[in-house]
Amino acid sequence: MIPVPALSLGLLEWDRPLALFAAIVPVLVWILARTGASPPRIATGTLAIWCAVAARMPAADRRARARPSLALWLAIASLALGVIALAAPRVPLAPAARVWRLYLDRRPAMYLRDRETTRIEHAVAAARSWIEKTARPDDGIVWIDSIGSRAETVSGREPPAEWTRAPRIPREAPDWRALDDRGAVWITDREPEIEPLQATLVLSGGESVPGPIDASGTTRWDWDGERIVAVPNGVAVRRVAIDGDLARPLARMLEAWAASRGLAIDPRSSAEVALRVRTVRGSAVEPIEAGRDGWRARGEISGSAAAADEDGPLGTWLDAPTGSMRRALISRGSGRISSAWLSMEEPEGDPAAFAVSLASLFDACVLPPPGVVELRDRLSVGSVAVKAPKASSSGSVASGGALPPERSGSPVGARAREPALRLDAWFALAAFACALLALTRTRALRGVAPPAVARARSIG
Amino acid sequence: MAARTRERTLELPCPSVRFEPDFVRRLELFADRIAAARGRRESGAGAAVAGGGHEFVGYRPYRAGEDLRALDWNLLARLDRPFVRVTRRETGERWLVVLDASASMGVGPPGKLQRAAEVCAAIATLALRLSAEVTISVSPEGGTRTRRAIELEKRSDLGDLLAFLESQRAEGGAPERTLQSLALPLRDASRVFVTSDLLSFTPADLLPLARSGRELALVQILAPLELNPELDGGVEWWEPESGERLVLALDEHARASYAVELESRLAAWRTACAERGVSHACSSSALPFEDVLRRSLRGASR
Repeated sequence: MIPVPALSLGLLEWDRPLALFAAIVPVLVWILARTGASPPRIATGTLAIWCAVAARMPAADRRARARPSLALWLAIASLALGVIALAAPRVPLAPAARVWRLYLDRRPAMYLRDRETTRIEHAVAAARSWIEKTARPDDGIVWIDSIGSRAETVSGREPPAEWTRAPRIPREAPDWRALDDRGAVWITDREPEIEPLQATLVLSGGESVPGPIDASGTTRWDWDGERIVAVPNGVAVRRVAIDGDLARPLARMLEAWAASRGLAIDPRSSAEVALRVRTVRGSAVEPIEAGRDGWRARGEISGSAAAADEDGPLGTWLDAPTGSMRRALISRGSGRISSAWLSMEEPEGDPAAFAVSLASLFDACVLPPPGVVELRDRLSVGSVAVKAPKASSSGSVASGGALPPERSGSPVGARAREPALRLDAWFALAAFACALLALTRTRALRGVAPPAVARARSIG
Repeated sequence: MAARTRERTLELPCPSVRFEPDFVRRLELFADRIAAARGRRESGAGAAVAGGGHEFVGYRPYRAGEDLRALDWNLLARLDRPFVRVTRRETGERWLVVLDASASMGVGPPGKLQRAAEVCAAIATLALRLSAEVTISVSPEGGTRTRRAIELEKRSDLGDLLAFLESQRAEGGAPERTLQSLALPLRDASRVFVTSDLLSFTPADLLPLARSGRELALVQILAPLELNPELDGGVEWWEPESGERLVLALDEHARASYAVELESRLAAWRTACAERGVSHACSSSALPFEDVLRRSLRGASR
């Protein structure tokens, strides 16, 4: 049997709308009663009296059209109510509110231009088309720019226009694993490393896009689609800015690292820089000892390294216990580093370990020159696609597994389970009552004396 | 226009007679009560049975509408108040009970023939209790009816009577019948009871049955639908004897006109019967036979 979805008609929703076709039955009965049905035939010994009555009646009044009896009306009402009951009407108590969360990947690869359109524009268009078909009119739609543990959200059918332009600080891929839940839609260019269990995947795909893939000093490395070629003086000298007094061992390592990478230290630079290192100044100065990667150092700190700045959250790179909690001493993000060290003694342990450790930090944070995108991101990633989550057994995205949870807390799934006042039982009861009354009236005419007749009237 | 057509193939709603298991007990109880009232000459219910015979048993005050032939003129002259002579029936008295089983008696529910048969059985039981012979005659002749009369002399004949009555079906008849058409075995019947809807008769047809030495009681039974048609909208009335039909739109006005017309016809029966000293009462078939008969006997006492 072909399942038929519930139908919204007027103020009611009908779980079995096909049953409404049965409404033709009471209509036909009514039409027959009005046109073809003859009046009830009743035997009487007083026909002569009725003839006398008819003779005195005006001609127009003698024979009215055979009106359906009350019993017939009741039977028709019973049929109509029964049909309504079969169609299972219900009054939705409150519109089910669901929220779709559309997570947008804003990595540099998403802004690679494939002919006229960027991958992010492709992906957003595909996501918008899919959500139009899948979401109900009363569903909420939230676009989310996930930046580490922070997220910027915007409600509406369209994401903000500025999100289709590359951010000043290149983004990393969202932490998809943390975003895998019902109603989530991942919008990216290729299948992520993890397979979503509950989130729907919208992929832009995209052809390979040749272009800069790296830079070293002023030399830029380009991929032309087949080979990697060096472009001397392809980029300007990148700069490293230092805000505040950086602890000496840290400053020394930064200078050495910048020199090896071809970057220039510019303490007072306010222009666009490849890396900005800030020293935090708090109110109190405390001694501290911390280390990692095989080195350890003592020194003084003032406050904590910043957890976030105007460009987004910063992740802790080095921390140490102070009292019952751990305090961030160095935090980092793309293009910036925050340090709480006021002073630092020479680190203990292997000096090379200290150098490698900090060089890794600087390498991870320094921004590439504008336009540089890793080679693997420039390769072709297939075509546009929408993929159901693994949890959706039927493979259809809209079949249930990917639906967002209701705000009311009711189970997710078929509309029949939405909170509603079911009316089918009441209509069935009314139909039964009408049928009973119709039967009573019929029996009264055919052989069983109704109460009105039992109250015998005698004339004598 | 009201359509008036003919068709004879329709089925009657209540054409047969069927007695309930406790019917005999009810008959006995009813006969006991009436017989007990016989002793009370002034009792309304027993007066009809006690009056109009041959053996003088006393006097009672005259009531308006009674046959002036029963008035004792000597007593009137002496006391200046009217009294009626009351006589006891002698043994060997013969009663005739006429059961109208024409097709129109199959109208109901409850069926008129059913109630009329019960009344006939009750009268016969009472007659046997009073040591009278009784003949039950069914009218009209013809149809599936093979036996149209049964004579009863003793109480043990009651079973035969009930079987005879249960074999009757409402059938036959004509819209207009005469006394001759009934072909009644009147012979020396001192009391004649006619249980019928009287719709095929006029008073002139039946009242000649009443004459000196013979009392007549008319037990008229109509169906509730005939007494008070609580119907609305189009109805096709069907007359079982003639087969005629009439399609009519019923409303309050039509029902009121019907009630007036019916009442005028019943009034004509009442007036004619009162003038001839004939007992007449019209009852609904919805009433139990005891009530129907009690009303008829009370009517006879007036």
